[in-house]
Amino acid sequence: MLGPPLAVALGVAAAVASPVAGDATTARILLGALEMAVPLTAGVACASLIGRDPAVEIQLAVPTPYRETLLRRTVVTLGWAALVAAVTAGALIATGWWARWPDNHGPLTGQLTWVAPTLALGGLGLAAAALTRSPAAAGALVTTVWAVQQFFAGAAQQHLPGRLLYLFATTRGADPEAWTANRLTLLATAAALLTLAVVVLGRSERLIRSEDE
Amino acid sequence: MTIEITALTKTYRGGVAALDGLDLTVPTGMFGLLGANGAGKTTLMRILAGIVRPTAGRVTVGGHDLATGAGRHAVQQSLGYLPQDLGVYPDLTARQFLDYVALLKGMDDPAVRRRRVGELLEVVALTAQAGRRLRGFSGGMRQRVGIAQALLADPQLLIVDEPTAGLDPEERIRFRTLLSQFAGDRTVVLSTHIVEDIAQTCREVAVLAQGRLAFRGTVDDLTQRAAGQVWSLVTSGPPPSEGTVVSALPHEGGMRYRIVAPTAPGAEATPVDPGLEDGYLAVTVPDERRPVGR
Repeated sequence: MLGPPLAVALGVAAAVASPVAGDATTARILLGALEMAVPLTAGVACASLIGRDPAVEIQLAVPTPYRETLLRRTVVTLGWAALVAAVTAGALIATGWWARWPDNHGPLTGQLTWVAPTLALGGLGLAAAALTRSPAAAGALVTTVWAVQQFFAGAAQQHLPGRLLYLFATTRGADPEAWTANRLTLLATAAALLTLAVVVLGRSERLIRSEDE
Repeated sequence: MTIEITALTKTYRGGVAALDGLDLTVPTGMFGLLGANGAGKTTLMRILAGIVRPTAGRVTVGGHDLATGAGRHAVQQSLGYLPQDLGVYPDLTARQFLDYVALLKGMDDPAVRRRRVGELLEVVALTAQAGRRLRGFSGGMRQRVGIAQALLADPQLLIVDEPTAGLDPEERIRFRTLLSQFAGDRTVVLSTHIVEDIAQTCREVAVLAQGRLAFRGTVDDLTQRAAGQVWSLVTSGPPPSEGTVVSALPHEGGMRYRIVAPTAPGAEATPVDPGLEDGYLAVTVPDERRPVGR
Protein backbone atom coordinates (compact mmCIF):
# COMPACT_ATOMS: atom_id res chain seq x y z
CA MET A 1 0.00 0.00 0.00
CA LEU A 2 2.87 2.34 0.72
CA GLY A 3 4.62 1.71 -2.60
CA PRO A 4 2.85 4.15 -4.94
CA PRO A 5 2.78 7.13 -2.52
CA LEU A 6 6.42 6.52 -1.64
CA ALA A 7 7.28 6.39 -5.35
CA VAL A 8 5.61 9.76 -5.88
CA ALA A 9 7.28 11.22 -2.78
CA LEU A 10 10.67 10.07 -4.04
CA GLY A 11 9.96 11.68 -7.41
CA VAL A 12 9.04 14.98 -5.79
CA ALA A 13 12.13 14.82 -3.57
CA ALA A 14 14.31 14.11 -6.61
CA ALA A 15 12.76 17.05 -8.46
CA VAL A 16 13.35 19.38 -5.52
CA ALA A 17 16.94 18.19 -5.08
CA SER A 18 17.79 18.13 -8.78
CA PRO A 19 21.07 19.94 -9.41
CA VAL A 20 20.09 20.57 -13.03
CA ALA A 21 18.34 23.90 -13.35
CA GLY A 22 15.31 24.50 -15.53
CA ASP A 23 11.55 23.96 -15.39
CA ALA A 24 11.57 21.32 -18.13
CA THR A 25 14.03 19.14 -16.24
CA THR A 26 12.03 19.41 -13.02
CA ALA A 27 8.80 18.65 -14.91
CA ARG A 28 10.44 15.66 -16.55
CA ILE A 29 11.46 14.25 -13.16
CA LEU A 30 7.94 14.76 -11.82
CA LEU A 31 6.34 13.03 -14.82
CA GLY A 32 9.05 10.41 -14.59
CA ALA A 33 7.85 9.53 -11.09
CA LEU A 34 4.46 8.74 -12.61
CA GLU A 35 5.85 6.92 -15.65
CA MET A 36 8.67 5.00 -13.94
CA ALA A 37 8.31 4.74 -10.17
CA VAL A 38 4.57 4.15 -9.80
CA PRO A 39 4.47 1.35 -12.44
CA LEU A 40 7.44 -0.38 -10.81
CA THR A 41 5.74 -0.49 -7.41
CA ALA A 42 2.48 -1.67 -9.02
CA GLY A 43 4.29 -4.42 -10.94
CA VAL A 44 6.12 -5.70 -7.88
CA ALA A 45 2.92 -5.55 -5.82
CA CYS A 46 1.04 -7.61 -8.44
CA ALA A 47 3.90 -10.11 -8.50
CA SER A 48 3.45 -10.65 -4.77
CA LEU A 49 -0.25 -11.51 -4.98
CA ILE A 50 0.30 -15.18 -5.85
CA GLY A 51 2.35 -17.81 -4.04
CA ARG A 52 2.37 -16.26 -0.58
CA ASP A 53 -1.23 -16.76 0.48
CA PRO A 54 -1.11 -18.67 3.77
CA ALA A 55 -4.77 -19.67 3.50
CA VAL A 56 -4.64 -20.84 -0.11
CA GLU A 57 -6.04 -24.28 0.67
CA ILE A 58 -9.08 -22.81 2.38
CA GLN A 59 -9.48 -20.40 -0.52
CA LEU A 60 -9.49 -23.28 -3.01
CA ALA A 61 -12.17 -25.18 -1.08
CA VAL A 62 -14.79 -22.41 -0.92
CA PRO A 63 -17.49 -21.74 -3.54
CA THR A 64 -15.95 -18.37 -4.49
CA PRO A 65 -13.32 -19.20 -7.14
CA TYR A 66 -9.82 -18.28 -5.97
CA ARG A 67 -9.13 -16.83 -9.40
CA GLU A 68 -11.93 -14.34 -8.77
CA THR A 69 -10.45 -13.44 -5.38
CA LEU A 70 -7.00 -12.91 -6.92
CA LEU A 71 -8.39 -10.75 -9.69
CA ARG A 72 -10.19 -8.61 -7.10
CA ARG A 73 -6.92 -8.20 -5.25
CA THR A 74 -5.25 -7.22 -8.53
CA VAL A 75 -7.93 -4.61 -9.18
CA VAL A 76 -7.42 -3.18 -5.69
CA THR A 77 -3.62 -3.16 -6.14
CA LEU A 78 -3.70 -1.50 -9.54
CA GLY A 79 -6.61 0.72 -8.51
CA TRP A 80 -4.65 2.09 -5.56
CA ALA A 81 -1.63 2.82 -7.78
CA ALA A 82 -3.96 4.47 -10.30
CA LEU A 83 -5.61 6.60 -7.63
CA VAL A 84 -2.25 7.85 -6.34
CA ALA A 85 -1.03 8.51 -9.89
CA ALA A 86 -4.25 10.27 -10.92
CA VAL A 87 -4.21 12.54 -7.85
CA THR A 88 -0.55 13.34 -8.49
CA ALA A 89 -1.21 14.02 -12.17
CA GLY A 90 -4.11 16.27 -11.18
CA ALA A 91 -1.83 18.21 -8.86
CA LEU A 92 0.80 18.57 -11.59
CA ILE A 93 -1.80 19.79 -14.07
CA ALA A 94 -3.26 22.24 -11.55
CA THR A 95 0.14 23.66 -10.66
CA GLY A 96 1.29 23.91 -14.26
CA TRP A 97 4.16 21.44 -13.98
CA TRP A 98 2.45 18.99 -16.36
CA ALA A 99 2.51 21.53 -19.20
CA ARG A 100 6.16 22.40 -18.62
CA TRP A 101 7.31 19.10 -20.09
CA PRO A 102 7.15 19.63 -23.87
CA ASP A 103 6.10 16.01 -24.69
CA ASN A 104 3.25 15.87 -22.17
CA HIS A 105 0.54 14.89 -24.75
CA GLY A 106 -2.11 16.93 -23.01
CA PRO A 107 -3.93 16.59 -19.70
CA LEU A 108 -6.27 13.82 -20.90
CA THR A 109 -4.45 11.59 -23.41
CA GLY A 110 -1.30 12.31 -21.46
CA GLN A 111 -2.62 10.14 -18.61
CA LEU A 112 -1.45 7.20 -20.68
CA THR A 113 1.97 8.27 -19.41
CA TRP A 114 1.33 6.24 -16.24
CA VAL A 115 -1.69 4.11 -17.23
CA ALA A 116 0.10 2.11 -19.93
CA PRO A 117 3.31 1.15 -18.05
CA THR A 118 1.39 0.54 -14.81
CA LEU A 119 -0.92 -1.94 -16.50
CA ALA A 120 1.93 -3.50 -18.48
CA LEU A 121 4.16 -4.11 -15.46
CA GLY A 122 1.15 -5.12 -13.34
CA GLY A 123 0.13 -7.67 -15.99
CA LEU A 124 3.71 -8.90 -16.26
CA GLY A 125 3.97 -9.33 -12.49
CA LEU A 126 0.68 -11.20 -12.19
CA ALA A 127 1.31 -13.47 -15.19
CA ALA A 128 4.84 -14.28 -14.03
CA ALA A 129 3.62 -15.05 -10.52
CA ALA A 130 0.83 -17.26 -11.88
CA LEU A 131 3.30 -19.19 -14.02
CA THR A 132 6.14 -19.50 -11.49
CA ARG A 133 4.11 -19.43 -8.23
CA SER A 134 7.07 -17.50 -6.89
CA PRO A 135 6.60 -13.88 -5.82
CA ALA A 136 10.38 -13.47 -5.65
CA ALA A 137 10.95 -14.71 -9.21
CA ALA A 138 8.04 -12.68 -10.57
CA GLY A 139 9.17 -9.55 -8.73
CA ALA A 140 12.72 -10.05 -10.00
CA LEU A 141 11.45 -10.33 -13.58
CA VAL A 142 9.46 -7.09 -13.26
CA THR A 143 12.43 -5.30 -11.73
CA THR A 144 14.81 -6.63 -14.39
CA VAL A 145 12.59 -5.53 -17.28
CA TRP A 146 12.24 -2.10 -15.66
CA ALA A 147 15.99 -1.79 -14.97
CA VAL A 148 17.05 -2.90 -18.46
CA GLN A 149 14.77 -0.28 -20.03
CA GLN A 150 15.95 2.28 -17.53
CA PHE A 151 19.69 1.77 -17.82
CA PHE A 152 19.88 0.71 -21.47
CA ALA A 153 17.31 3.09 -22.88
CA GLY A 154 19.20 3.58 -26.14
CA ALA A 155 19.65 -0.10 -26.89
CA ALA A 156 16.10 -0.87 -25.84
CA GLN A 157 14.73 1.57 -28.43
CA GLN A 158 17.06 0.71 -31.28
CA HIS A 159 14.47 -1.26 -33.24
CA LEU A 160 10.73 -0.77 -33.77
CA PRO A 161 9.51 -3.59 -31.46
CA GLY A 162 11.71 -2.20 -28.70
CA ARG A 163 10.36 1.30 -29.24
CA LEU A 164 6.77 0.03 -29.18
CA LEU A 165 7.36 -1.85 -25.93
CA TYR A 166 9.42 0.88 -24.25
CA LEU A 167 7.87 1.72 -20.89
CA PHE A 168 9.12 5.28 -20.55
CA ALA A 169 8.25 6.79 -23.93
CA THR A 170 6.87 10.04 -22.47
CA THR A 171 9.96 11.12 -20.58
CA ARG A 172 12.72 9.18 -22.35
CA GLY A 173 11.20 8.19 -25.69
CA ALA A 174 13.53 8.13 -28.71
CA ASP A 175 10.70 8.67 -31.18
CA PRO A 176 7.97 11.10 -29.96
CA GLU A 177 5.95 10.39 -33.14
CA ALA A 178 5.52 6.77 -32.10
CA TRP A 179 4.17 7.69 -28.64
CA THR A 180 0.52 6.77 -29.31
CA ALA A 181 1.45 3.48 -30.97
CA ASN A 182 3.77 2.74 -28.03
CA ARG A 183 1.04 3.36 -25.46
CA LEU A 184 -1.50 1.25 -27.36
CA THR A 185 1.04 -1.56 -27.72
CA LEU A 186 1.70 -1.49 -23.97
CA LEU A 187 -2.04 -1.60 -23.26
CA ALA A 188 -2.49 -4.55 -25.64
CA THR A 189 0.47 -6.31 -24.01
CA ALA A 190 -1.06 -5.72 -20.58
CA ALA A 191 -4.37 -7.19 -21.78
CA ALA A 192 -2.58 -10.26 -23.18
CA LEU A 193 -0.61 -10.79 -19.94
CA LEU A 194 -3.69 -10.41 -17.74
CA THR A 195 -5.56 -12.88 -19.95
CA LEU A 196 -2.68 -15.33 -19.64
CA ALA A 197 -2.79 -14.96 -15.86
CA VAL A 198 -6.55 -15.57 -15.80
CA VAL A 199 -6.14 -18.76 -17.84
CA VAL A 200 -3.27 -20.09 -15.71
CA LEU A 201 -5.08 -19.28 -12.46
CA GLY A 202 -7.98 -21.45 -13.61
CA ARG A 203 -5.88 -24.50 -12.78
CA SER A 204 -6.17 -24.40 -9.02
CA GLU A 205 -3.89 -27.39 -8.47
CA ARG A 206 -0.93 -25.31 -9.63
CA LEU A 207 -1.42 -22.97 -6.70
CA ILE A 208 -0.61 -25.60 -4.11
CA ARG A 209 3.08 -26.07 -3.52
CA SER A 210 4.38 -29.32 -4.96
CA GLU A 211 5.96 -30.35 -1.67
CA ASP A 212 2.49 -30.37 -0.13
CA GLU A 213 1.28 -32.85 -2.66
CA MET B 1 -24.34 -37.13 1.92
CA THR B 2 -22.74 -40.30 0.56
CA ILE B 3 -19.34 -40.27 -1.13
CA GLU B 4 -18.73 -42.80 -3.92
CA ILE B 5 -15.14 -43.27 -5.04
CA THR B 6 -14.44 -45.53 -8.01
CA ALA B 7 -11.03 -46.56 -9.37
CA LEU B 8 -9.54 -43.29 -8.15
CA THR B 9 -5.96 -42.68 -9.24
CA LYS B 10 -3.79 -39.63 -8.70
CA THR B 11 -0.29 -39.49 -10.11
CA TYR B 12 1.82 -36.40 -9.60
CA ARG B 13 4.54 -35.08 -11.84
CA GLY B 14 7.51 -37.37 -11.78
CA GLY B 15 5.27 -40.43 -11.73
CA VAL B 16 4.62 -40.43 -7.98
CA ALA B 17 1.35 -42.34 -7.46
CA ALA B 18 -0.45 -40.91 -4.43
CA LEU B 19 -3.63 -42.92 -5.05
CA ASP B 20 -3.78 -46.11 -7.03
CA GLY B 21 -7.18 -47.41 -8.15
CA LEU B 22 -9.04 -46.61 -4.92
CA ASP B 23 -12.63 -47.83 -4.51
CA LEU B 24 -14.44 -46.60 -1.43
CA THR B 25 -17.92 -45.68 -0.24
CA VAL B 26 -18.25 -43.23 2.64
CA PRO B 27 -21.69 -43.19 4.30
CA THR B 28 -23.34 -40.46 6.34
CA GLY B 29 -21.93 -40.02 9.86
CA MET B 30 -18.41 -40.02 11.24
CA PHE B 31 -15.97 -41.87 9.02
CA GLY B 32 -12.33 -42.41 9.89
CA LEU B 33 -9.49 -42.56 7.44
CA LEU B 34 -6.29 -44.02 8.79
CA GLY B 35 -2.91 -44.30 7.16
CA ALA B 36 0.75 -43.58 7.62
CA ASN B 37 2.33 -40.36 6.36
CA GLY B 38 2.48 -40.59 2.58
CA ALA B 39 -0.36 -43.13 2.36
CA GLY B 40 -2.42 -40.77 0.19
CA LYS B 41 -4.82 -39.40 2.80
CA THR B 42 -4.17 -35.73 2.13
CA THR B 43 -4.45 -36.22 -1.63
CA LEU B 44 -7.78 -37.96 -1.14
CA MET B 45 -9.00 -35.15 1.15
CA ARG B 46 -7.97 -32.56 -1.43
CA ILE B 47 -9.76 -34.41 -4.21
CA LEU B 48 -12.92 -34.64 -2.09
CA ALA B 49 -12.65 -30.89 -1.39
CA GLY B 50 -12.41 -30.16 -5.12
CA ILE B 51 -8.90 -28.72 -4.83
CA VAL B 52 -7.01 -31.41 -6.74
CA ARG B 53 -8.21 -33.20 -9.87
CA PRO B 54 -7.83 -36.97 -10.13
CA THR B 55 -5.69 -38.50 -12.86
CA ALA B 56 -8.32 -41.19 -13.40
CA GLY B 57 -11.43 -42.56 -11.74
CA ARG B 58 -14.65 -41.02 -10.53
CA VAL B 59 -15.80 -39.33 -7.34
CA THR B 60 -19.36 -38.33 -6.56
CA VAL B 61 -20.42 -36.52 -3.41
CA GLY B 62 -24.13 -36.52 -2.72
CA GLY B 63 -24.61 -37.39 -6.39
CA HIS B 64 -22.46 -34.49 -7.64
CA ASP B 65 -19.64 -35.51 -9.95
CA LEU B 66 -16.39 -33.81 -8.92
CA ALA B 67 -15.07 -34.10 -12.48
CA THR B 68 -17.35 -31.23 -13.54
CA GLY B 69 -17.09 -27.58 -12.55
CA ALA B 70 -20.76 -27.52 -11.60
CA GLY B 71 -20.29 -30.63 -9.46
CA ARG B 72 -17.31 -29.16 -7.63
CA HIS B 73 -19.17 -25.91 -7.05
CA ALA B 74 -22.21 -27.74 -5.68
CA VAL B 75 -20.05 -29.79 -3.31
CA GLN B 76 -18.07 -26.75 -2.13
CA GLN B 77 -21.31 -24.97 -1.27
CA SER B 78 -22.03 -27.62 1.35
CA LEU B 79 -18.44 -28.31 2.35
CA GLY B 80 -16.47 -27.52 5.48
CA TYR B 81 -12.75 -28.18 5.09
CA LEU B 82 -9.96 -28.10 7.62
CA PRO B 83 -6.64 -28.67 5.85
CA GLN B 84 -3.69 -30.43 7.39
CA ASP B 85 -1.56 -27.29 7.37
CA LEU B 86 -4.00 -24.59 8.35
CA GLY B 87 -2.80 -21.24 7.11
CA VAL B 88 -4.38 -18.03 8.40
CA TYR B 89 -3.89 -14.34 7.74
CA PRO B 90 -1.77 -13.28 10.73
CA ASP B 91 -2.76 -9.61 10.62
CA LEU B 92 -6.47 -10.38 10.90
CA THR B 93 -8.24 -10.96 14.20
CA ALA B 94 -10.06 -14.26 14.72
CA ARG B 95 -13.38 -12.51 14.14
CA GLN B 96 -12.17 -10.77 10.97
CA PHE B 97 -10.75 -14.01 9.58
CA LEU B 98 -13.98 -15.91 10.16
CA ASP B 99 -15.99 -13.05 8.70
CA TYR B 100 -13.81 -13.09 5.57
CA VAL B 101 -14.13 -16.86 5.11
CA ALA B 102 -17.89 -16.58 5.64
CA LEU B 103 -18.01 -14.03 2.84
CA LEU B 104 -16.06 -16.41 0.57
CA LYS B 105 -18.60 -19.10 1.43
CA GLY B 106 -21.39 -16.92 0.11
CA MET B 107 -22.79 -15.61 3.40
CA ASP B 108 -23.51 -12.15 2.01
CA ASP B 109 -25.80 -10.83 4.75
CA PRO B 110 -23.56 -9.03 7.30
CA ALA B 111 -26.02 -9.60 10.17
CA VAL B 112 -26.22 -13.35 9.49
CA ARG B 113 -22.46 -13.51 9.20
CA ARG B 114 -21.91 -11.63 12.43
CA ARG B 115 -24.31 -13.89 14.30
CA ARG B 116 -22.83 -17.12 12.92
CA VAL B 117 -19.26 -16.02 13.60
CA GLY B 118 -20.23 -15.14 17.17
CA GLU B 119 -21.88 -18.53 17.69
CA LEU B 120 -18.86 -20.43 16.42
CA LEU B 121 -16.40 -18.38 18.45
CA GLU B 122 -18.47 -19.43 21.44
CA VAL B 123 -18.45 -23.08 20.36
CA VAL B 124 -14.66 -23.17 20.05
CA ALA B 125 -14.23 -21.13 23.24
CA LEU B 126 -12.51 -18.19 21.59
CA THR B 127 -15.00 -15.41 22.29
CA ALA B 128 -12.60 -13.71 24.69
CA GLN B 129 -9.82 -13.78 22.10
CA ALA B 130 -11.98 -12.81 19.12
CA GLY B 131 -10.41 -9.37 18.84
CA ARG B 132 -6.82 -10.57 18.99
CA ARG B 133 -4.68 -10.90 15.89
CA LEU B 134 -4.09 -14.47 14.76
CA ARG B 135 -0.34 -13.78 14.75
CA GLY B 136 -0.29 -14.26 18.52
CA PHE B 137 -2.41 -17.44 18.63
CA SER B 138 -0.98 -20.77 19.80
CA GLY B 139 -1.22 -23.85 17.56
CA GLY B 140 -4.23 -25.12 19.45
CA MET B 141 -6.03 -21.79 19.25
CA ARG B 142 -5.37 -21.59 15.51
CA GLN B 143 -6.74 -25.09 15.11
CA ARG B 144 -9.89 -24.00 16.91
CA VAL B 145 -10.20 -21.08 14.50
CA GLY B 146 -9.74 -23.66 11.74
CA ILE B 147 -12.62 -25.81 12.90
CA ALA B 148 -14.77 -22.70 13.34
CA GLN B 149 -14.17 -21.64 9.73
CA ALA B 150 -14.96 -25.16 8.56
CA LEU B 151 -18.34 -25.08 10.33
CA LEU B 152 -19.29 -21.58 9.16
CA ALA B 153 -21.92 -22.35 6.52
CA ASP B 154 -23.40 -25.32 8.42
CA PRO B 155 -21.83 -27.83 6.00
CA GLN B 156 -23.37 -31.18 5.14
CA LEU B 157 -19.91 -32.55 4.44
CA LEU B 158 -17.02 -31.87 6.80
CA ILE B 159 -13.51 -32.93 5.83
CA VAL B 160 -10.85 -32.65 8.51
CA ASP B 161 -7.27 -33.62 7.72
CA GLU B 162 -5.04 -34.45 10.71
CA PRO B 163 -7.01 -32.05 12.93
CA THR B 164 -5.55 -33.00 16.29
CA ALA B 165 -1.88 -32.89 15.36
CA GLY B 166 -0.17 -30.44 17.70
CA LEU B 167 -3.08 -30.22 20.15
CA ASP B 168 -2.63 -30.93 23.85
CA PRO B 169 -4.67 -33.84 25.32
CA GLU B 170 -7.42 -31.62 26.66
CA GLU B 171 -7.84 -29.83 23.33
CA ARG B 172 -7.84 -33.15 21.47
CA ILE B 173 -10.68 -34.46 23.61
CA ARG B 174 -12.63 -31.23 23.19
CA PHE B 175 -12.08 -31.37 19.45
CA ARG B 176 -13.19 -34.98 19.13
CA THR B 177 -16.32 -34.30 21.16
CA LEU B 178 -17.11 -31.32 18.97
CA LEU B 179 -16.79 -33.39 15.81
CA SER B 180 -18.97 -36.19 17.18
CA GLN B 181 -21.65 -33.73 18.26
CA PHE B 182 -21.58 -32.08 14.87
CA ALA B 183 -21.79 -35.28 12.81
CA GLY B 184 -25.45 -36.29 13.33
CA ASP B 185 -26.98 -36.71 9.89
CA ARG B 186 -24.00 -35.06 8.20
CA THR B 187 -20.92 -36.71 6.74
CA VAL B 188 -17.66 -36.12 8.58
CA VAL B 189 -14.45 -37.55 7.12
CA LEU B 190 -11.72 -37.59 9.74
CA SER B 191 -8.29 -38.28 8.31
CA THR B 192 -5.55 -39.01 10.80
CA HIS B 193 -2.66 -41.23 11.72
CA ILE B 194 -3.65 -41.05 15.39
CA VAL B 195 -5.53 -44.28 15.99
CA GLU B 196 -6.99 -43.08 19.28
CA ASP B 197 -8.90 -40.28 17.54
CA ILE B 198 -10.65 -42.83 15.32
CA ALA B 199 -11.32 -45.20 18.22
CA GLN B 200 -13.07 -42.46 20.17
CA THR B 201 -15.21 -41.01 17.40
CA CYS B 202 -15.86 -43.34 14.45
CA ARG B 203 -17.82 -46.51 13.91
CA GLU B 204 -16.59 -47.03 10.36
CA VAL B 205 -13.06 -46.71 9.14
CA ALA B 206 -10.86 -47.19 6.07
CA VAL B 207 -7.13 -47.73 6.10
CA LEU B 208 -4.95 -46.48 3.27
CA ALA B 209 -1.50 -47.83 2.57
CA GLN B 210 0.62 -46.67 -0.36
CA GLY B 211 -2.38 -45.17 -2.12
CA ARG B 212 -4.48 -48.31 -1.91
CA LEU B 213 -7.29 -49.48 0.32
CA ALA B 214 -5.86 -51.82 2.93
CA PHE B 215 -9.05 -52.13 4.96
CA ARG B 216 -12.65 -50.96 5.00
CA GLY B 217 -15.08 -51.87 7.76
CA THR B 218 -16.09 -51.11 11.32
CA VAL B 219 -13.67 -50.18 14.06
CA ASP B 220 -14.45 -53.53 15.74
CA ASP B 221 -13.67 -55.37 12.49
CA LEU B 222 -10.33 -53.62 12.26
CA THR B 223 -9.54 -54.51 15.86
CA GLN B 224 -10.39 -58.15 15.19
CA ARG B 225 -7.98 -58.25 12.23
CA ALA B 226 -5.26 -58.56 14.85
CA ALA B 227 -6.98 -61.36 16.79
CA GLY B 228 -4.48 -64.10 17.54
CA GLN B 229 -1.60 -61.90 16.40
CA VAL B 230 -0.99 -59.79 19.52
CA TRP B 231 1.53 -60.97 22.07
CA SER B 232 3.01 -59.88 25.36
CA LEU B 233 6.62 -60.77 26.03
CA VAL B 234 8.73 -59.97 29.09
CA THR B 235 12.47 -60.18 28.56
CA SER B 236 15.68 -58.64 29.84
CA GLY B 237 17.33 -59.18 26.47
CA PRO B 238 16.99 -57.27 23.22
CA PRO B 239 13.54 -56.73 21.68
CA PRO B 240 12.28 -59.59 19.52
CA SER B 241 13.21 -59.42 15.85
CA GLU B 242 9.91 -60.88 14.68
CA GLY B 243 6.75 -58.82 14.36
CA THR B 244 6.10 -55.16 15.14
CA VAL B 245 6.69 -53.81 18.62
CA VAL B 246 3.65 -51.76 19.60
CA SER B 247 4.83 -50.76 23.05
CA ALA B 248 7.73 -51.30 25.43
CA LEU B 249 7.37 -50.80 29.20
CA PRO B 250 9.99 -51.31 31.93
CA HIS B 251 9.08 -54.45 33.92
CA GLU B 252 10.98 -55.96 36.90
CA GLY B 253 14.48 -55.53 35.57
CA GLY B 254 13.51 -56.17 32.01
CA MET B 255 10.99 -54.90 29.46
CA ARG B 256 7.45 -55.88 28.66
CA TYR B 257 6.88 -55.75 24.91
CA ARG B 258 3.55 -55.74 23.13
CA ILE B 259 4.07 -57.25 19.71
CA VAL B 260 1.94 -57.81 16.63
CA ALA B 261 3.17 -60.91 14.81
CA PRO B 262 1.48 -63.79 12.96
CA THR B 263 3.18 -66.30 15.25
CA ALA B 264 4.46 -66.13 18.83
CA PRO B 265 7.71 -64.13 18.82
CA GLY B 266 9.22 -66.33 21.54
CA ALA B 267 8.53 -69.28 23.80
CA GLU B 268 7.56 -66.99 26.71
CA ALA B 269 5.20 -64.86 24.63
CA THR B 270 1.58 -64.96 25.75
CA PRO B 271 -1.40 -63.96 23.57
CA VAL B 272 -3.34 -60.82 24.58
CA ASP B 273 -6.56 -59.16 23.41
CA PRO B 274 -6.10 -56.92 20.38
CA GLY B 275 -6.73 -53.19 20.31
CA LEU B 276 -7.48 -50.90 17.37
CA GLU B 277 -3.83 -49.93 17.04
CA ASP B 278 -2.92 -53.62 16.78
CA GLY B 279 -5.54 -54.08 14.05
CA TYR B 280 -4.17 -51.10 12.15
CA LEU B 281 -0.65 -52.54 12.29
CA ALA B 282 -1.93 -55.98 11.31
CA VAL B 283 -3.40 -54.65 8.05
CA THR B 284 -0.59 -52.27 7.16
CA VAL B 285 2.75 -53.48 8.39
CA PRO B 286 3.09 -57.16 7.39
CA ASP B 287 1.76 -56.77 3.89
CA GLU B 288 0.63 -53.30 2.89
CA ARG B 289 -0.93 -54.64 -0.29
CA ARG B 290 -3.01 -57.41 1.21
CA PRO B 291 -6.49 -57.81 -0.28
CA VAL B 292 -9.26 -55.66 1.11
CA GLY B 293 -11.55 -57.40 3.55
CA ARG B 294 -14.36 -56.58 5.87
